[in-house]
This record gives sequence, C-alpha cells and structure tokens, in this order.
Amino acid sequence: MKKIFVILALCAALQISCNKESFIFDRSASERIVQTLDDYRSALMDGRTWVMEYYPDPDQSYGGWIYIVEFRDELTVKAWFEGSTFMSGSNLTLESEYAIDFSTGPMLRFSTNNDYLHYFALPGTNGYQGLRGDYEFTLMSLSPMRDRIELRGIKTGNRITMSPLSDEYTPESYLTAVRNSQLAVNRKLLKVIVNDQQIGTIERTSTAYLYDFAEFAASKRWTLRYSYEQPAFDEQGLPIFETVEVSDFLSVIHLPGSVMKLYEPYIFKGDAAPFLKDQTMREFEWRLGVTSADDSYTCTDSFMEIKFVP
Amino acid sequence: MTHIMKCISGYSFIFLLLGAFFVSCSKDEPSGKSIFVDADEQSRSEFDKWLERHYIEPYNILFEYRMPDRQTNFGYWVTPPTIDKSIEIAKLIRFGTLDAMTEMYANGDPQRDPTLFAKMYFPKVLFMVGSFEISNTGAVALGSAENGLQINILGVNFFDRNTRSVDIIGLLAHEFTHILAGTRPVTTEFKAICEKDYVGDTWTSAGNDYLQLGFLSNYGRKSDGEDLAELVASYLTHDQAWWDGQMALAGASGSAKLEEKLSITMAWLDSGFDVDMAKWRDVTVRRISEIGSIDWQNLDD
Repeated sequence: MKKIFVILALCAALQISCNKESFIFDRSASERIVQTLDDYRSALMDGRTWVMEYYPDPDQSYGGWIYIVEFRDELTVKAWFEGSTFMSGSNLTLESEYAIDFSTGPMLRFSTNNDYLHYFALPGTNGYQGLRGDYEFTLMSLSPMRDRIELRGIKTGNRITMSPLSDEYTPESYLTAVRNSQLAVNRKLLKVIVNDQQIGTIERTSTAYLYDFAEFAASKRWTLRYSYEQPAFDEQGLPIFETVEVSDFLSVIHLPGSVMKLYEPYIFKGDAAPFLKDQTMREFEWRLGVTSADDSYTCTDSFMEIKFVP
Repeated sequence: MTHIMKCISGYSFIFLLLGAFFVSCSKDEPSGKSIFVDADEQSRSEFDKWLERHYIEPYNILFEYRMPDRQTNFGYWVTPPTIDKSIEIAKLIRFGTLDAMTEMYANGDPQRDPTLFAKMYFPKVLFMVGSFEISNTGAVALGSAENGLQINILGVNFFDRNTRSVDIIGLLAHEFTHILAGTRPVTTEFKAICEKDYVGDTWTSAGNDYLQLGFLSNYGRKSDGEDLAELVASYLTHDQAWWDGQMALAGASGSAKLEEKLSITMAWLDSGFDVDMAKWRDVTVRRISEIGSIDWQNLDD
C-alpha cells in the first residue's frame, strides 16, 4: 500500500512538471531581437538626418563634438563634422556604410572608413591610441516619440545622444551655428557667481580656434575652482571648520543659440554659497549684457541663479 | 489490489507510468517554423556579390571588410577600411595568392580539384583593418594570423597598389605559412640549423649580418616560426636571380644554412601538403609581373 502512495506522489510530481510550460513573452527571443533592430532601423530612416552629440575618450578629455549623420538607405550614411575646419584634404571619405546589428545588445556600427566619423579613433599622428573615439555603439534606448536615441560607446562607455535635425537647419547651417556659439565667447577665465555671490572661477587654456584640433579641443575643457567650509576636528579633537579647495574638470559641448552643455550635470560638493551643496548645473546660455563686462553664461537648468561672468 | 501487484511488479508499474508521461510530454512538436530569424539581413552591394563569386563560391572564404571592431584586438585602437581600398586588396589577393595556389596545385589530373589546397588550408576569414595596429612602444603591425582561422590585414587604407602589392602577397604567404606549420609542423632539423641565432623580441636591435647568419631578414631571427614564414614568403615572391643574389651576399656559411633550410621547407611542403614549392614560386612571380593587368575597379567579372 505504501508503494502505491509513492507511485501516486511521483505521478503527481511529474504532472506538475509537465504543466509548467508557460510563456512570459508572446514571441521568441530571436523574433524580439529582430523587432528591436527593425525599430531602430526604421527610426533612423524616419528621422533621416540626425544631430549626434559625441564625446571621445573615456574621460571626455577632448570635449564634446557635433556630428550630423544622414542615413541615406539601409547601407549608406553621410557625415558632417563640427571639426571639419581643421581637417585637410580634398578627397576625404564622408559617405560610408553603417550597420545595425546585434551583439550583446542592439548596436549601431559605422562599418567602413569615414574620415569624419573615424577621426577620433585613428591611431598615428594623434598617438598610438588616436584620440580614443568610438564608432561602435550600443543602442540603449529609443524615446517613445522616436525623436531621441541614446547610445553608449563600446570602448569608452561614453553616453552619446542623437536627435533629428530641425527643419530650420541644413547640416552645414547647423554646424555653422554651433561654431558661432563658440566664437561668440572669447574669454578664457570667468567668475562663477551663485545668487550674486562669487564662489570661484572657471578657466580654460584656449578659446575656440577652429583650424587647430588641439586648441579647438582645449576650448571645450574647463576647470571649475571653488572652495567651501566643512566641519572637522583639530588635533585636540575640538570642532573646527576646514576649507576644502575644489578643482574639477568639466567637458562641454556647444549647440546653436550660444548654448553650452556639460557632459553630465555637475553636482556642487559643498556650500560655497548657502544651500549650494548637491545642487546641479548642466546647460548654459551666453547672454549679452549692456556692455561686454555684463555678458554671462547663465545656467538655464538649476534651482540656483548661477552665472559665469567676465 | 494484492492480485494486481502480483501480476505487475512495483518497478514495472513505475516504468509503465513514466513511459506514459514521457509520451504526453513529447507532444510538444515543432511547428516547422524556425525560431531563428536572420538578424543580419543587410543590403548587399555590388562588391558583396563580387566576393560571393570569387571568394565564397570557389574557396569558401569570408572577406570581411565591414570591420566589426569587437573582433579586433581591444588593446589597440584601429579604424575600418575604405570600400575602394578593400576592393583593390580583394582583387590583389584573389589574383596573386588564391588563384596562384589554384594554378600551382593543378597538375592536369581531372580527378584532382585544383582549389583543394586553398580550400583545405587557407584560413576561412580575411579580415581587413583600415589603420595599422600601433603599440605603446610605437611598433607597427602589418598583419597577423589568428588560430589558423583568420588572417588580419592591417593598414588597408594606406595600401598603394603600385608600391605595396608584393608586400601584401608576401604578407599573406608569411601568415599562411604559420597556419600550415600549425597544421603539420616542420621537422626539428629546421630549427637546429640556426638555433643559437634566434634572439626573440630583441631582433629589432640586431645587426645587419642576418644574411651571413643564415636568415633572409632580421625579423626571421625572432624565432624558428618567423624564420620559416620569412623564408617561404621571400622565396615565393622573388625569382631565382634574387635568390642567387642573396646567396652570394650571404657568403659560404650563410648560404649553406639558407640552402639547407630551403631544402627542408620544400620537402615539408611536398610531403605534408603535396605542394611543389618551386612551381608555386614560378606561378607567384609570374603573376606579380602581371599585376598591372588587374582591373582594379570592375566588379562585373
């Protein structure tokens, strides 16, 4: 009798295991991959001409650069580049092939040589690693309106974004506007003003000189310096305030309308001004004052009133 | 119940039941439609179709010119090739390497497939890289072979068909020799001839007496493997007059070593691969002299 119970229990267990077949997804993994790739392909072709905000180098040491990329068909891409001003040669390859395929995730690859798109990756005159620029990207996300694609560089891990080129611009006029945004500001040193109080400075080694890569790139690297007090203890264990000096590197990209945008929001480390700690800033607009001394980069996305002024 | 248990033993009953369940479980029959969808479907260019006709169909070789960076050495930063230069390299390798091997291997026997040597031993992937690989010491690599499966050709964007065609044919012969040696090792007598003069990575600072020591280049002094590859590549891409000239420069000791190594290499290719190295050289040298006849742009053939 015991045996019968054992057999029945076994049967019940087997029955349960056989009935476990249920599906979380309504399509196979392969079909879902193909669907994802198709979504990106069709979005690229629908948007057709995209503004790419691109950062080479794992530390973003050369600042951010604008590419305009036009996906002409399923195979061909044409590129325009903010830095074309310092590239010489009449026979540059600007139209090349691209591919959307799947590796560890959906990927966009610029798969045959393009002198603009591969400028930062080319080893040689710029060092044995070139300028450490990606040309293969993981496609991280596509916005619901299909008007923003976020990518991540395979080698650098840098975040790159693409959005469709507005109808008011041609690729050339957009890049001219980007360059003009930089030429409008010829200062290397600016004061950092928070709520009408100077807390420090922001400095770069070069203004935007369009015809030399090193100087052009140096204009996109700022060093932010400020100091703040923080509670500490002296050698006797008594409470004191100590001064912390901050010197942080900021990598920026420029957009039309005299806009300068940091690679990522900067988070203030201490109360250099009241309640400044943990406040963020990212996007600035160069606004003209009554005199040039009143011009300023004014932050447009902070709760504090933050300006960089001459 | 006792009666039933007498007829069917406990174990038989269990197996019977299990059998029944397996039958029920195996009802999950495939629908006939594969779950795998071709995700790599991409428009094929005229060049792709040309490669299908001249690389894939006759030799089953993938000529990869849309360089996936993830398949390159991540220790280096490299860029992809241009399509124009890739076409020129593809035309050159077909004419000067693959079809040369086919012509060499043909012996008039209708039973013998002349493409067999290339099909059997030549690596299945030729991987084009636009830039060179430059190390942190400044050393520039021109090509590499990977596990007998792939030859990487570097610096494709700097290829000048008027000045570098023979270099590329030699590079292919060099890397292919590594693959052949990995398949059937050359006899140890080869290594013994110049064993004391192999210097490893310090070959870059070696003197200019490599010929007198029995080598065709300083790079050959790196190891017996590189020595063999240098010997095959140099021999195949130069005529007899060049060889005789090298022997004269090498002097009695150097030329004796080189002739002995050549003899061992010829015997190795003959016995291991049924390849006549002298005929291979004649075909290759003649084709090198005919490189000017290549139509570099036409993809209709």
